[in-house]
Amino acid sequence: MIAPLREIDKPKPTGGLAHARRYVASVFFTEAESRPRPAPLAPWKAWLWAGWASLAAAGYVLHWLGWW
Amino acid sequence: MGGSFFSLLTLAWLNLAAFSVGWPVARSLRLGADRFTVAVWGVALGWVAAGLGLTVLGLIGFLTPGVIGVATMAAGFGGLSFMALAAGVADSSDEFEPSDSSSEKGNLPALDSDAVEPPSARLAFAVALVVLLAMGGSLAGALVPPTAGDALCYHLDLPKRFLADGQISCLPFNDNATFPLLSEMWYAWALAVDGEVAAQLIHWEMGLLFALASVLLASPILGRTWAVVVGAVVLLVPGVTNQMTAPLNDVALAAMTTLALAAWWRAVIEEESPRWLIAAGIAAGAAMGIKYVAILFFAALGLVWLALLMRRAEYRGRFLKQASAIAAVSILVGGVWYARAFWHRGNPVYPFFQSQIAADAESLDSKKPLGRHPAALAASPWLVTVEPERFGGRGHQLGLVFLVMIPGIAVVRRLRGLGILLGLAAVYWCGWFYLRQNVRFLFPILAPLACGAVWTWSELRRAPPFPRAVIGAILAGSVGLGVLLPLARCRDSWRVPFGLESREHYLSRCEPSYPIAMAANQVLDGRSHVLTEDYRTFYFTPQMTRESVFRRETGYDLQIDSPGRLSATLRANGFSYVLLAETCNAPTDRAPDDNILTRLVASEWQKNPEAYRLLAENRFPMADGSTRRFRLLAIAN
Repeated sequence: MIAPLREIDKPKPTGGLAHARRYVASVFFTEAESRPRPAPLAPWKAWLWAGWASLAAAGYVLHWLGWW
Repeated sequence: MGGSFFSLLTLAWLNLAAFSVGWPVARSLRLGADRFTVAVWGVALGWVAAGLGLTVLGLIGFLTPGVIGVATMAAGFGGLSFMALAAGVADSSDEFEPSDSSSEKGNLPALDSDAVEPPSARLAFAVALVVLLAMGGSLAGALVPPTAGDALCYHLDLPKRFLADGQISCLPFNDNATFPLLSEMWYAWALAVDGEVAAQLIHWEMGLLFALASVLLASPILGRTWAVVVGAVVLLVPGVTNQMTAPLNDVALAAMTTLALAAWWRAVIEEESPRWLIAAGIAAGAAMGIKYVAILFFAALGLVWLALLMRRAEYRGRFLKQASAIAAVSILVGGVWYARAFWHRGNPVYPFFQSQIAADAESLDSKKPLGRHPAALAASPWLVTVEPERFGGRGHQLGLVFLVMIPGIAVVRRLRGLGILLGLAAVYWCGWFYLRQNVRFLFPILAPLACGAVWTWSELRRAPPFPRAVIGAILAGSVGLGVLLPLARCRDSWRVPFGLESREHYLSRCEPSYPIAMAANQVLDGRSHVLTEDYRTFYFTPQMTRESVFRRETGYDLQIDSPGRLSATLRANGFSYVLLAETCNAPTDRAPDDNILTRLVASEWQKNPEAYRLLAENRFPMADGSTRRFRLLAIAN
């Protein structure tokens, strides 16, 4: 059996570079292993995604209609 | 109605015949422990084996309807008995052993329910409903006689010629005759047993096989329930449902590349039985036997595999053995087409790297509408989705699901294995961008992309209510588009499957070449040789040679120093007839046709009215308001 979620950081390394890497990764990824149950998606990330989806849908529809 | 029923019956019988070979192979390879996996592989391996058998028959000169009919009838009965046996075996867990690596690995991985929660029953019902609707629409489209240009040009025309010759012949002045032709062998099978509609239904079935292969690929990563949604997403891609209504080969290719990837995953990533390597090799060989694009897919997979070796030391020891096993089996299965092209053309991937043809291709902007700039590469996912007409046509579009859902990967949790699939898709996409920017050539990576899209879909439940509603509504609209398009496409043809309109009447009003073909077939026979300006040649009984290829190969037009020499030159090259095809009243935004043969004939005919005799003429109104004018002329002796 395999676990579905990658354990992103095995034992967390210490040091400035590792800290910076974790910080950058935390902007984009939620660390799965740190929470036993899936935590809610950060609202700003969800809105970012929703904004992109709206933009893509608008571009698609407007081009389909010949307005763009 | 009767014709549609018989075509569906033919398809069912061909499947039984294929299953009679494929199921024993799948069983002997012990591919998976569950009935679903064995059934999918049984059907897939059966089609590959049937294609190989027909190829051998064609190469030794026994590709005749009689031989094929007898073999199909016998194999179909064998398939019936195997079906009964398969049902019995599947019910008996003692008789069917799981994959021998370990009993636990042979079963589906039990996923952490907290991490990947199965979709709700309502969602599963909605997905099943939209898939059924979309499949109904595409089936209605697949039950009408084929009118797709490429199908009439060579996907169906070549097998028709091979059946008439009794062998896979290398036709002069036909570039396509030395392509990989495994799917055309399947079409020859259907043409020998029934006709062109049955052949078209084979590609419709390949769409289903593509979806099932996607389920197999996604199961170890997302779990079986979400994997079924992956299959549904693949089936709802507008380009896929569109191609399922025509006997082409892109969907068949995608089915085989996805099966190969699924088997590779089980052998290499899951470290299951080495027998999966054989399955991967067979599917890879079949993909290589269907279309050259498979080379790009497996090159991308090779690069991803090498990248994995750099990160995972435990894979290194087995790499050479695994890669050479897959390569050896795939060469055995698909290598014959490359050997044949090398034998006849001196180039195993003809017509690639042929200077004259390459020059012609380069002159067409449509091959690479975005050019080669890296900025265009970055913008290509957006442009391919929003403006598919620039990349081969709106009919082949990918739909909106991928563009909406895959960027969500940046904000959801990471899923084990998804990086490999998306890495493969990214490498393939780069190769596609620099080689040939046609949206249907992206079909081989639809299953990996669908895995990414469905993972973010499953993660939507973690989003706050309002953004989740926004994304959910757009996703629903995108999926709805995948249903509406196949239903809308069959609005002009749905009467044919139900017998409310005859196939002949449908062709008379929808296929430009059909009326003139019927007229030509009344006055000419299979020994007549026609030089044609139109490339849609399937419905013609006489031998048809495309003027554009003949001109490129011989430069005959440059040898005509006086108008009176044309008919003598054509006669000397074995042509007794010419078919002139012109577009009249073309829209102003369309490039005018360059009808060199029409001009040369008109010039000679004007000076010498006895040089040609008009046998038939037809004017066909086209959808864009223009008129296609066909004239069949006999060349005087």
